[in-house]
Amino acid sequence: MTATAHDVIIAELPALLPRLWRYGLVLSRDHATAEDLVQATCVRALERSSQFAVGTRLDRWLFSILRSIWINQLRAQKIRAGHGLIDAEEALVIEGAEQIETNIFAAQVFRQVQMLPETQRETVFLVYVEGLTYQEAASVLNVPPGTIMSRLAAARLKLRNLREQAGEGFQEK
Amino acid sequence: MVARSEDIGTDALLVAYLDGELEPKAHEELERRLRSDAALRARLTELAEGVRPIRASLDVLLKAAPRPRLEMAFASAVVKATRRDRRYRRLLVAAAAALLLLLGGAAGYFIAKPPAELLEEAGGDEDQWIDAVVGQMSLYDAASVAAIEVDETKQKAELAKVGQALNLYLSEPMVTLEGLTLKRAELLSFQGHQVAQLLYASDEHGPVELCIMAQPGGESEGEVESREGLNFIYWAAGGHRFLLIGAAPANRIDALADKVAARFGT
Repeated sequence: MTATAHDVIIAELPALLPRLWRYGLVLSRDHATAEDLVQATCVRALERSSQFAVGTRLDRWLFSILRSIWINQLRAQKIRAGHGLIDAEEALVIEGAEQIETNIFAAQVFRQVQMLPETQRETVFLVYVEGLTYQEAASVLNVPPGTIMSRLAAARLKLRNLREQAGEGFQEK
Repeated sequence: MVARSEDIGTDALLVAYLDGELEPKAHEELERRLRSDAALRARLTELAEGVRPIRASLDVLLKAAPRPRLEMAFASAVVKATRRDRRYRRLLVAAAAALLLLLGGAAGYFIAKPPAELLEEAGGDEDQWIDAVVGQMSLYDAASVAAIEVDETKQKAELAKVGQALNLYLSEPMVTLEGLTLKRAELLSFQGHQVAQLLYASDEHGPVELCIMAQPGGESEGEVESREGLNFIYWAAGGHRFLLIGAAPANRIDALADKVAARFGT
């Protein structure tokens, strides 16, 4: 018996929840909105399960849905409510003292990424964090691949500036 | 892989090169250029920010994800979706409600805007209405309901609107219950009937909900029953059906119901 799209979504979505939340957080820069985005994405994914092609990447499909909800619904609300940047350290609070050293640096990097304008920020996130190819990112973001490249170039330069301002010597590990 | 190199600007080209996204021919061509062009090499260095720290930092963030709440969000989406599918209805709703309760204890998840569709279903008997409300109530927890901020003016307006839709006079004295704080008054829909839903917070026990449906008939009296860890009682009077439900002791639900019945009784 072949699985229906609905079955696949029910089975595989739970494992993807943290990544969806993370994307929601990168987009909205607000914890409550990120959770709202995840919930709304789950609802819509199940409602539109017939539109998912079994065998294709579920995560990419869900990212598109989440983004669409952000753009069309929640972003306007959030702008009206006047939310600002979330505190980078707050976002990275994790138990375990051994994590602290990593976290301070991670917090700095995260803060810098969150300072990027939204289009650059989400392009950096999809390509450099979620590992989408330029073509996949272009598809999720509904832009030509050329735009992906120029955004990434602009983002790299901006991050470099931010790092220099922060006085960090940068080392690739 | 991207289109031909002459289609895009130099920076974009260099970044595509760094990310391994150039077609082999374009990649080779650029490497040739880099070998002989110092300025181009300098530009490449400027753009060559390591992306691994970005990835590493955002991966740390994954560990901070509020998993129980996200799982709750998913479970509630499943309940909502299966309510629409008659094949699964009873079995999966029960399983999902149990799952929600299991997660509910530690999770503290609260849906800020309960979807009106949660109460929509085809069918006619008391049981389904109660099932739907039980499913919805099991998503709430005391702390989040208590945390809802009440705007007095807005609440008055909500009560007026809800009361009007149900042809009931929902003044403040009518809806004030001792030991409870009215947090929300909403108008939902069930099988085409309007349902007033008043959500209360309590200091002593879990949230309580009073639902009033504009539909005559139904059982005229009731006794406190229990389902999924919630106590509830339902009755009918004056062209309306009432359901009082909450994470509260049975005698408390009973006492509250007496009060409400006395106020709204014909």
